[in-house]
Amino acid sequence: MKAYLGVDVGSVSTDIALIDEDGEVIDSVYLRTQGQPIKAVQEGMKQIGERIGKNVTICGAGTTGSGRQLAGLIVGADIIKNEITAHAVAATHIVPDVQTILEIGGQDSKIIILRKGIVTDFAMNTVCAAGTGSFLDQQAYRLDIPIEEFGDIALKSTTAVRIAGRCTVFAESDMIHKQQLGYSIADIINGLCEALVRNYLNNIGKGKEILEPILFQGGVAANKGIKAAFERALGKKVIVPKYHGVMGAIGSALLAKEAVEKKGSTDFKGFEVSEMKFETNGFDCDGCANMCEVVEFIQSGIVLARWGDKCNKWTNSIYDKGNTLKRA
Amino acid sequence: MRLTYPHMGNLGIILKALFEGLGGDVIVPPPITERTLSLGVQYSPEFACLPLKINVGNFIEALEMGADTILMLGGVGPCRFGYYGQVQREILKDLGYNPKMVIVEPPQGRFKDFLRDLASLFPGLTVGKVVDAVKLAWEKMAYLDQMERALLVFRAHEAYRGAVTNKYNEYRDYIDESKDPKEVKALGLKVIEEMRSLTVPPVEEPLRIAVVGEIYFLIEPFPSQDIFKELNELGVEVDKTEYISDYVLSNIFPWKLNRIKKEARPYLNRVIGGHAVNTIGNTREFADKGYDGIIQIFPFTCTPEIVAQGILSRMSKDLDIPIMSLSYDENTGQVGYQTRIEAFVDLLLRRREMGSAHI
Repeated sequence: MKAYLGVDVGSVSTDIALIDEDGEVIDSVYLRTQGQPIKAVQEGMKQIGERIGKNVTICGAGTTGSGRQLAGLIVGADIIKNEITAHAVAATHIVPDVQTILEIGGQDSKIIILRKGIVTDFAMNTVCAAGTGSFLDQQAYRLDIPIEEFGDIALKSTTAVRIAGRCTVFAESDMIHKQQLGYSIADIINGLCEALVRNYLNNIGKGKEILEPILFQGGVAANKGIKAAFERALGKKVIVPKYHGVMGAIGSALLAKEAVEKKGSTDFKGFEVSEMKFETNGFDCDGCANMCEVVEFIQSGIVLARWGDKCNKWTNSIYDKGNTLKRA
Repeated sequence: MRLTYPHMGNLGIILKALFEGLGGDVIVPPPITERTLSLGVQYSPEFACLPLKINVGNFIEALEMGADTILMLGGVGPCRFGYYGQVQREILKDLGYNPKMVIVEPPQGRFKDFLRDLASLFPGLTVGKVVDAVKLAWEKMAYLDQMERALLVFRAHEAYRGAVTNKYNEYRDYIDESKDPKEVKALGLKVIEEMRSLTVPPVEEPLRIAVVGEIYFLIEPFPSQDIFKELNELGVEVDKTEYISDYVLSNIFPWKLNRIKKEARPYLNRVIGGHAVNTIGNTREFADKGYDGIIQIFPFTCTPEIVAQGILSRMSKDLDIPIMSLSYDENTGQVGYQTRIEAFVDLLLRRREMGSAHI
């Protein structure tokens, strides 16, 4: 069976999805990046590699997410694409007439507006991570509630509690204040979900026309409290796709399929990459007054890529032959 | 007197030609690096915008090199910039430097007074010296602008990564060294041809994006992590709304702005400070010229541009053109910006494929 691999390396999670030729998900892995993208990708590749049957051949690989360049080098990606495009591709594959995608991840949140299957507008949170998964994580930890149960607890709320939503510091002090007044945990968590949604719609959704079908994806989509709060605020139905947590990876696999069809072969290195030795090494170039921080990416002692220089002296040093360049 | 001034794109080269021609001893601050940024951030008020901080970094680095006089532009009107020179003087004083700080108010049509202010810095000036210096600086400004305009188009199609940029940088240095206006012109025309020769014709009609926004960000590439290069390297031809000559001319002759103000009028009918009115007017102009998309760039906390950002979302609908706004602060992480820029370019490409009439 032919299959395509998609890797999404985000700030918080690293996801891998394997799809077949029809774009159906065969298998997926969801891991915590924990600040070590190389290790996370290798671990994910190892898990997927062990699970798939011998009759599966990987015909293409794609990467996305904030760690996409690094992941692309590790797995040998046929395409390296930003996560906005990847999420949109995955969503239109699952619900072809989708018009709005709400996506909340670990450190960023975005809204993507589509019309007739193409992206017409998008926005991402700027500057501050208020209202993203990391903050929910942190609050769950503070309240000693597993993040997986967060949403269910919110649904038990009976009284509305107002929590400030535009800044996590404000939100946290409001939550503590309400908690000391004696409100129930369920009400406070529900208040937080509503605050997060309010902040999302006012900040990222500002001025956007949110039309159905609406897909809610990203790690936070698992949280039923947030989904319910979105439905209340919008007065519309919000769909959480089955593979909401790995949509970026699915989109990236779909893009890889498209890319391989165009170029005819794959650069995928195989699941052995989980055993190879990858390192990064940084140095300050002293070639001019800019003193760029150059980073080298090394696979088993061989420098695969360099980046970070303004003049391309180091970037080009890898691709000298024929000056062919690999970039998203 | 050892004179210095803040960096702003190629303005440093032009000012150097002018002031050296007037008989000044010029110390050009080192190029803006992370050190400049760190120094600026460390010693500036936290709530100030990035241009002030980079200026402070430039000043400190130039003072370290022995400069003793700083030339800074003042300003009038509701942007904080008008007060930056004063604030910077106080910061430097607190740090124990005691430079002579000359804050020149923009001429706003009173070019004679402006020249008189400047002339006080250079004793023993003759008319002939002034004419020669202005001529050389003017020629440098004209050709550096033309070169940059060409760079932003040709780099989108360079034969290999860095080819056009490196040629541009090489000739920019030659122009910096040149003392002869005729040679400057010859170099300027030559490099445009050389850059052209380093390109390969694009397979498909390239995307064209116009960059609008705050003036310092349009002229100096450092704070936006060189968004112009970033776009070019994705194969996009770029134009920006303000080059140094536009900036200089509109400061000398305020009526130059009238066209832009007229363009902006349906959306914003008064000057609200900074370059908000330019951002609005230019966006309308570029949309009419058939650009595929517009990107607005500005420093985080810039009030005029934030007001403009709000207006742009309405204009995007009215004019049927995608517009993205990006604000920058001292963060040097590129991934977040790259993601947005790439996604924006993808959006424009798909939009073109589908034909915008169907959306």
